[in-house]
Amino acid sequence: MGDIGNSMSEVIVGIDLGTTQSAVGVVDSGFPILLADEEGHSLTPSAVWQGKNGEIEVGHSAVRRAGTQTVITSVKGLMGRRFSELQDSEKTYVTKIDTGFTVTTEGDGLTPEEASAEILRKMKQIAEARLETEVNKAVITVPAYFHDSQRAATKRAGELAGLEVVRILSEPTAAALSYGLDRLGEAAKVAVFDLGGGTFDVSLLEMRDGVFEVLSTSGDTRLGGDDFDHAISQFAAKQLDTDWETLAPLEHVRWLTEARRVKHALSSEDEVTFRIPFVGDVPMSRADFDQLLEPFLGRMEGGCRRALLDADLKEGDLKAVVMVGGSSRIPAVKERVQKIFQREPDLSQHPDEAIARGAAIQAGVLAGVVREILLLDVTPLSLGIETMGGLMNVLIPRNSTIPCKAGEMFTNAADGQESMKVRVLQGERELARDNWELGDFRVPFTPERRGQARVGVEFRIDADGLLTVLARDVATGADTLLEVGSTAVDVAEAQVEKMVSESVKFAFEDMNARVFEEAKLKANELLPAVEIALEQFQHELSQEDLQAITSARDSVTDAIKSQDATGLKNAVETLDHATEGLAALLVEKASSALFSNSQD
Amino acid sequence: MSAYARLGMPKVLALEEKTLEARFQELGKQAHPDVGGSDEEFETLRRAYEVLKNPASRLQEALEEKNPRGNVATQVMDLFGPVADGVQKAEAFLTERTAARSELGRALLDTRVPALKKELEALGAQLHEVEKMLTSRFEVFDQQGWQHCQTEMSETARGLTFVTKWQAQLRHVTGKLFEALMG
Repeated sequence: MGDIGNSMSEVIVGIDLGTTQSAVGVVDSGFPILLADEEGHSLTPSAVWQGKNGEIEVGHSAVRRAGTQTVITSVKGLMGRRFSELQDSEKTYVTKIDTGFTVTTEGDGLTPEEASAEILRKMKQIAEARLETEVNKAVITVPAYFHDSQRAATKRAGELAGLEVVRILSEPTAAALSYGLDRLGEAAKVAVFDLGGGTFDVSLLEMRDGVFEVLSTSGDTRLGGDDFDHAISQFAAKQLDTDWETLAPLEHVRWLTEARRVKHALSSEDEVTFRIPFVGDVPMSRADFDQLLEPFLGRMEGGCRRALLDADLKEGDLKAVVMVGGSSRIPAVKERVQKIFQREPDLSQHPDEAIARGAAIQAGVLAGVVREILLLDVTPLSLGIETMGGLMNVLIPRNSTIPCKAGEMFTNAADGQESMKVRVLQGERELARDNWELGDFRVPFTPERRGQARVGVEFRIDADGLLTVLARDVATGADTLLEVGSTAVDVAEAQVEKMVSESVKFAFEDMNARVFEEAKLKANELLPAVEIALEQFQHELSQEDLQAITSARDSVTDAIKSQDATGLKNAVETLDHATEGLAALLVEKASSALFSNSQD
Repeated sequence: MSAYARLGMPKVLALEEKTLEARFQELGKQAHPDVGGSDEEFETLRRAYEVLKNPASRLQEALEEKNPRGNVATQVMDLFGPVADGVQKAEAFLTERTAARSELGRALLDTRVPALKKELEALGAQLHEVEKMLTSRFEVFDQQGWQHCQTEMSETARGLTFVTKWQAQLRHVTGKLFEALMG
């Protein structure tokens, strides 16, 4: 190991580009340290302000403008995504442009990559000021569950910021490096549970003699602390008879900021008041919060259980469960992790700093100043191509150690065929269209009789988790790098829009009949379900809830008889809503049974 | 280069999984591009490890005639029906659940998950037993010399291939069940 001042090797920094905050670190005398800005902060809010004349502010100063001006926050979740797959709530803050979309600012707007590049440029400046040297290379972390396009977008953001991105590193793996640095002599299997501002990852690793081998990873790129802020805000809005959807964007910021304060306070207090001046107060207990968290906790549990299944491990095989990420401070999250893995979570790592420290360690490995460590990571999602019939043919299964390769042979299907289009997909679903489409490429054929032209295509996933595709002409042996383009997606999008608008036109005439039929299908499912569920749980419901359910049920039955489409639709919705508690009871019972089963 | 040669392991079928893992990690410290190796070097190592890690492909590697033939053990064939049933049942459940329109409807379906999971786990345990039975022959093959028991090895390889495939199927549907239940 060497010094950072060692002029023999070029400095490589490690950057945690987080949803809500970012940090930069470097290895100093064998230990990772975070670099603080001029005010002494080692965490920088991932906030970007762009003024009318294009001027930019990043971090604390940008945050100070929020509430009165438009400031970009949580842009990470938009990286590498397409306009067409954004949710409506996300679309409010963006403008569609030719090549994608920009996020709204006081100025012209920035693409997610440009906004991230501004954050990265800030981190570069902080590092240069602290280290008193130029910094041109970085390891940047991403959620383990980021797909190829999200990773590639992060890499481009780094390049825009003037950084050569020497590695895209998965966040839980980075946290594992930080955890394992003092434990290099031990052999152990550990889990890393990483719940940040916008993303959730869980990775299972084996550590032995300085090798960190990821066995499996799972996660959700749209699950994190931001979701809890929204849930709290919406809960408060409901109590205050305010329509959350129609609040102005700056109002949203005000509510979400208050929600964040309440969320933080509820980690140590039992009851906190949510307070919006001139609108009202909402007392909120930890039990209220826990209830809001329940669906999110369920999703996390699903991810953890799948990771265990994929790694072929039992809870008891793990020596530690390391929790990182700001949201791992929430008591209900800690309790759930403890319940899933049946052991006390390890909280030794700083939740906001561990990932940047790990990134710094990996930067040290790549710079050659940290010698006894090797990271073997995996690809989080299966990679495949679309085959006849719209199915996904997996070429590289998820959790394969990277870098790795897979080959596939393509043959011309017609005389003189010059090329063939291949769609590349990432995901776990059987149907091609249910997976993320990376893009497509053309396999070039030399014109020959049908079945005679043969081209071998090699898919490579490098250590960054990024895909390259190479074609080798079997006859000539020449390799060509194939461009995987995503232009076709916009064409598909236009087609879909056309199809939708056509079907709406035709359907308009029999709209009423369709509303009735759809509502009736749902009613036919709900009515018997209500009977069965009531039989089991009637005694556990309050008189009030029971009353609400039975009266909603009766109005559904009446509406069916009277053939009233709108009436039935509303009645079914009321019944659906009234039975939420009942559904929660059932799910709780099912998941606790599932849980006790896995213990024996 | 054979998978055994790439990993520098003696040609033995009855391998300790731990030894193999450690060997892969140790060689990774030279082959991985991060520590002075290259993508190509690491790829040959990774492939060799994949081959030896799985008992079915390891046995396949030891066969002179690569297409295994011969009778499949009755213990394996007996499991064909139950595994197919279990997988089909789980898939039917998943289809039904995707089609459910209400929260309560889904919740009611979900009460069936624990029983389903238990059934799948029981099948997994049976497969594991059969796998153990088949791999227990590995020591005999090693002792007698591979060239003398190619026929038996071929039969065993066929059985193991089925077992591995079914295990993967069970794992796949079990994973889907978790995902469905947890949202």
